[in-house]
Amino acid sequence: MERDASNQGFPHLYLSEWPFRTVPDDAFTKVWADRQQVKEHIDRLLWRWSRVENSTIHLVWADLGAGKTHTLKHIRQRCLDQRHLGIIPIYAVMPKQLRSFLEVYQAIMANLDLNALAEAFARVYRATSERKLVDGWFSYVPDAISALRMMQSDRTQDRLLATEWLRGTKFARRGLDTLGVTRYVRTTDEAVAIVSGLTRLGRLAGQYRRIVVMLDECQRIGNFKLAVGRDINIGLQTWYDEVSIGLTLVLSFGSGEEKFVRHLLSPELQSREDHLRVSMPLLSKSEAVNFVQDLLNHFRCGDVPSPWFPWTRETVEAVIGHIDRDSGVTPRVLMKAFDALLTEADFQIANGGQFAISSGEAIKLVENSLRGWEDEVGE
Amino acid sequence: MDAGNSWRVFCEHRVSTTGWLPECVRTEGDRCWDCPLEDPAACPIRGDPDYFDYLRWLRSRYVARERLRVRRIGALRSILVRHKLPLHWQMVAKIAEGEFPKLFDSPESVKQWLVLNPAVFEPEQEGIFGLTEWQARA
Repeated sequence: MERDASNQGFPHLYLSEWPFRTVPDDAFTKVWADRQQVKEHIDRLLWRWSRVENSTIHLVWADLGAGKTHTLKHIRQRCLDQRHLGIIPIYAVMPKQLRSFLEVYQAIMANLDLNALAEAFARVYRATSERKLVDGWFSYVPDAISALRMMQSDRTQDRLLATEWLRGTKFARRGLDTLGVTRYVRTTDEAVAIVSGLTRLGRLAGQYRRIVVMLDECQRIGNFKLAVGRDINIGLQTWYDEVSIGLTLVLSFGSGEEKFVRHLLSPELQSREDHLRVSMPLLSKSEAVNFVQDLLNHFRCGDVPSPWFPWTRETVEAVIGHIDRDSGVTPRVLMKAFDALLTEADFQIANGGQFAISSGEAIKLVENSLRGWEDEVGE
Repeated sequence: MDAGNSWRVFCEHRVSTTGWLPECVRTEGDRCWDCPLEDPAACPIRGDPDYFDYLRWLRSRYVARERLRVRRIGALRSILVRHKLPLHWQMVAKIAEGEFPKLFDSPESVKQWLVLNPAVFEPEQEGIFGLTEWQARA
């Protein structure tokens, strides 16, 4: 059977797209399989963010491979799909190595639309009353005003310089002189002052009602010296305290036990945490079966002979039973296992027109595909 | 050093470092046939109950130390097993302080336990430790 997967999907499998992906693209983040409770939590978060103005801090915890990054990107996608809510989502990742909050600032700033904020600045700064307000926000780092002004320059090079300055890049004297600033962003306090000012600026200019900054891989705080972890906590807490309206920080942790999160966050930051938190343990057997079924359903097309095609329910349950072994299973492992099974089905049906696999054969195939993934497969 | 003294030194060292006790002390009997001393008839500690007690005290000290060592390594290992990811030793010490109060003398002593037990703990970059068993699986 000849086919062009990119254009026509997989009609012989009754699928419009390949459902099992270990590295999903952005379009895949719209998909939500099983985990109804987590979905309800996300619904509540979006509801709260659109109804209440107060700034909030939320924690997302997931066991390793349990779908925390997908969840964050799903939240981002839903915010983008519902623009009328006025929520701008920013996704950033905690750097693997850092010495202070400054690197966290850089990771966040790399994902902020600085051009849009510079336009907002230009608009807002014309009015005298608002100019005073903005000057007040940036009083600790008046150089930021110079950089924002420079973002309006006709010269591309100047605009790039200003962007890099705002992103916390180190500058030589010559670059600083060109921008008309006294020094580059060096300390946690300066970084917090700039990011606080910018988040307030966007809201003042009506660009959004709320900015949701999702910081992924926060468990990396556990890899830093305590002093560095404290600095990150202080930076986040100060940012939150300064922007009392329209800011949401979503801190996402992946680790073996949810209670370890409290060791990574300062008591001050924990005391500011919102009661709405998202928790994702490993999937149970029945949840894993639903997960696979939901994924297949999402991409189904044509008059499929069985909801479990190209397998049987028994085969799916046997495979999940094998990889679960009573200790739970991660979506990542399910994706990997069923990707292998579907690849085999795709090959056989496309070339021979027939596909039949026993539970034993399916388990053997999955075992081979998961070699090296023993850490994530139940023991 | 005469033969008597050297036998005492040997016994005390071995009891303190391995927990071994001479058969006669362990069973409080006269069994000398498997004693490592070449001439049991010339044994300097035979029939010396005070010295027997001293060796037993040395052994109890060794056992207590060994129990503490096992508890400490087990505690640190359990933190990493449950976290499932490598951690900086300072964070391990902070968690240990909360979960196993008084088990470690100081955060620095936690670092020592991690460094001095490479069979269990695998050093990664800049003060970060994982479990050796994770490396073996990888």
